[in-house]
Amino acid sequence: MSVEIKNLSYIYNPKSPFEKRALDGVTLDVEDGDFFGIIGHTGSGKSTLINHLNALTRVQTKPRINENAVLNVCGIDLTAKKPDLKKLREKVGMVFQYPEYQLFADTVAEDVAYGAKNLGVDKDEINVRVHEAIERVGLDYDDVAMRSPFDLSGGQKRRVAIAGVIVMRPELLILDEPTAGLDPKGKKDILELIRAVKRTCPTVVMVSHNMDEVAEYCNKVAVFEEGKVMGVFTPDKLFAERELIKSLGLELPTVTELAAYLAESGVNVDPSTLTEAGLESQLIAYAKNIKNNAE
Amino acid sequence: MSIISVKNLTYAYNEGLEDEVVAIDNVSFDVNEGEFIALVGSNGSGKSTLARLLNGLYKPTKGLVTVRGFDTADRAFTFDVRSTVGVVFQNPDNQMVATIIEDDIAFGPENLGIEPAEIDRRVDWALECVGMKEHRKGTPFRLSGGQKQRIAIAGVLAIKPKVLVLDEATAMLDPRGKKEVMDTVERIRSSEDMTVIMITHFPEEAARADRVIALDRGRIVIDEPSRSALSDVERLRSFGLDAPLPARVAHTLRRNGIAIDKDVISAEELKEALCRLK
Amino acid sequence: MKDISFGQVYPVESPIHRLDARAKLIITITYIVTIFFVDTFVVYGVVAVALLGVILLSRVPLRKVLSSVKVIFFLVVFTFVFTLLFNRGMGPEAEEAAYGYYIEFGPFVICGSGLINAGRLACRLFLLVLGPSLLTFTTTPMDLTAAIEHLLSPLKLLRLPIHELAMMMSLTLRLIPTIMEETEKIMNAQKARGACFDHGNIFKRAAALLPVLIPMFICSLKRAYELADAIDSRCYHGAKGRTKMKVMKYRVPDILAYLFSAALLFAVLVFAYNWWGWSWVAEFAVI
Repeated sequence: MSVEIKNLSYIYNPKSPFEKRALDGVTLDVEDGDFFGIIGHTGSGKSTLINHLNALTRVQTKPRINENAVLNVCGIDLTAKKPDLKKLREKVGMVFQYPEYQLFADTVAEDVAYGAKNLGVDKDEINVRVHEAIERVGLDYDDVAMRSPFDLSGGQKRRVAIAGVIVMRPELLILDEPTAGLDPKGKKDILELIRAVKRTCPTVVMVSHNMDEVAEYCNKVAVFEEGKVMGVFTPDKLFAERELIKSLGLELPTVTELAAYLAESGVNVDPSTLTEAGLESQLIAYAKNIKNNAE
Repeated sequence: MSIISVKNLTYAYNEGLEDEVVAIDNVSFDVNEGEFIALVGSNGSGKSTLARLLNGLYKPTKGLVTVRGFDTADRAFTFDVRSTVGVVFQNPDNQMVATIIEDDIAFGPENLGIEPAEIDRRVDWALECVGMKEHRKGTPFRLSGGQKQRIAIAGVLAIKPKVLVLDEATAMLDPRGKKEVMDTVERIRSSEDMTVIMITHFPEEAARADRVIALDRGRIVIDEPSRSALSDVERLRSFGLDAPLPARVAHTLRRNGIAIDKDVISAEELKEALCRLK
Repeated sequence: MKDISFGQVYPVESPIHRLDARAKLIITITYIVTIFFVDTFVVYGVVAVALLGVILLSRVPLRKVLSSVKVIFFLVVFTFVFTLLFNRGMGPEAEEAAYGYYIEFGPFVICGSGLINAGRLACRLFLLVLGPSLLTFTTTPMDLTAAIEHLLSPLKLLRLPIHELAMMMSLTLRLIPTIMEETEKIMNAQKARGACFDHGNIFKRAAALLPVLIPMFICSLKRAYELADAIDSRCYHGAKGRTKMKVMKYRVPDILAYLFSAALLFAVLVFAYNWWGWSWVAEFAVI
């Protein structure tokens, strides 16, 4: 199991007028090989949770709210007083929102190498890894390696930032809204890139606001609301739970919404269709059927 | 009547230098009063540059932009131009000037030298327009992205512009925030008779407009009513753009030999077209 | 950190919170001046009681206000000990006669006058810190900036850019929380890439901060440019022809507050100088 969480809570500004319970008894498991989605409104606790997975936020001990909490990430017990953070950060790669803002070095190669260097990887190995990471995010090493990261386009910068994380060869990759702010083509490119990266980094956790992405890429989805997990579902189960989606003010994937609308209007399609191709093939079959009946 | 007129506009960054980049390349169009225009284009197509040319933040390298007849390049008209064309930018955090919401909204009218009692009324009115009246004395820091962006819209409305330009104002927001902002814009448009130019790369948002202007590498490649612009899936794709989902589905069906109307862009239209098959 | 632009304002409604920021600023200055005229414990007591009344009226918990002296606690202890040990008072015989003791050890001396002086100094320092800290508990930096701009506005006649300075100040206050938040994010991102900011000697640590400082600098510049565009778009052009929505206006409580502070200053001056030679004043404030 990649991530095991039981009863985890977190309170911001405890005992002050601004006290806020960001996590409230969260329990959830991420298994090896999952493409695990986390959805929920801004402020529902998603970011606080993923910061725990990399020990950027430590399990809170004061006030005493986590006495029987469990937080195991890649075999490391994070409720321990002094967990091995170096080992943890080697195993868990984290791509934050707008990761291009973390670029700093003179050249792309140098920036990508930063994480590997911090891990104490030796020089020759670093070069191999940097080369590999840059190619794996779909950039041409010979073209970009010696350029300044600040001269690249927005989409390219984001790729470099992701390369800077996968250079550490993590077992678990966490992404916080990896497609935020990109145009539709850029979004698609990044998601396909993540899918490709997943072949070597088997477990992926992705926070997303975009239901289309979640429906298309994730095999499990956890729904957050006010610091609580409202459930973990497969995408088709989740988007069939219309009442839950509605009560939480979440959206359906664009495709599902269209499918549901058409089904309601008497067109013979599955109202829980999740992919565009799926909807199209159903509609083609539907149209052909009508045609045949007419003939 | 046209309120903004753009003629043979070219804009280059680092003009005359070795690293000159032409961002807008010989573009012409008119914006009529009351229109709702979606300005679309992939990242780097020059959309945001164009927004900044419309209210004189940037001066044309070549060509002419006039707002209500005032040349945006003429310093004497700066405030006529800017009080006519209000711009809401992408990042809500980077357009708040004060730490109290009412102070932020008052900023524009204060700059115009309006008398205090009238500013106070405008702040009330602007907050009412965006549905945030109860936040008047509050601070923007604890608001959601959508709420912050509505405050930014109110800050622009308080200047009483005739044209509202939204420069990817929903790009950084979550779905709830996007919807809040879009609904707010529609409401203002109908109640205040505002001309709206919305820069976006979401095809579903563009479908709400009457007219779509598409930019590709600084040139206008489409300038048509939104129906014909957004239903031509192939053409949009050739510029790296997306059509709304119903249009894409209709396109695939047509390619599979099913007789679906060419100009479908909304779910209702797709449904009706499908029902007509019977 | 988000709340730095609210400084440490304690968020309750109170008559003190509601006072005009100009009044609070001037009264705080008057209060500081007042304290410098106090030279006896009894009068320190009078000032402390007055301050206590104001604190109670402000509804900021007393503990909270008192905790602000923590910052200067060591300074107070140090000055207290220093004054106590090096003050030779009126000399051995006179001190012996007046207070009954005069203890010498090595270069140090403990005597009655020294003890009294050290005590007064400590009182003065504590009271000096408590007043302004109450100001910051009840007034936002934004309001203070506006008050300073207003009070300094006569200097505009000398062509000093008072409005511009105030504008810069308030934009800074506005941006600090955003930039702090951003810095935290970048730090987290680099930590996630294995960075360590608390290892090694000072040079190593400084070098380790570069991957945070460079992106922070770039982001801040980008923000500044975008903010400048937004400000320009909203017709900003300096102070000329600019009006303000909030006209600062004194109300009855502000006048009362001024009178109260003037009365306190007057009372302290009477005790300090005893202009009319009243014997009860001379007796009242002996130490």
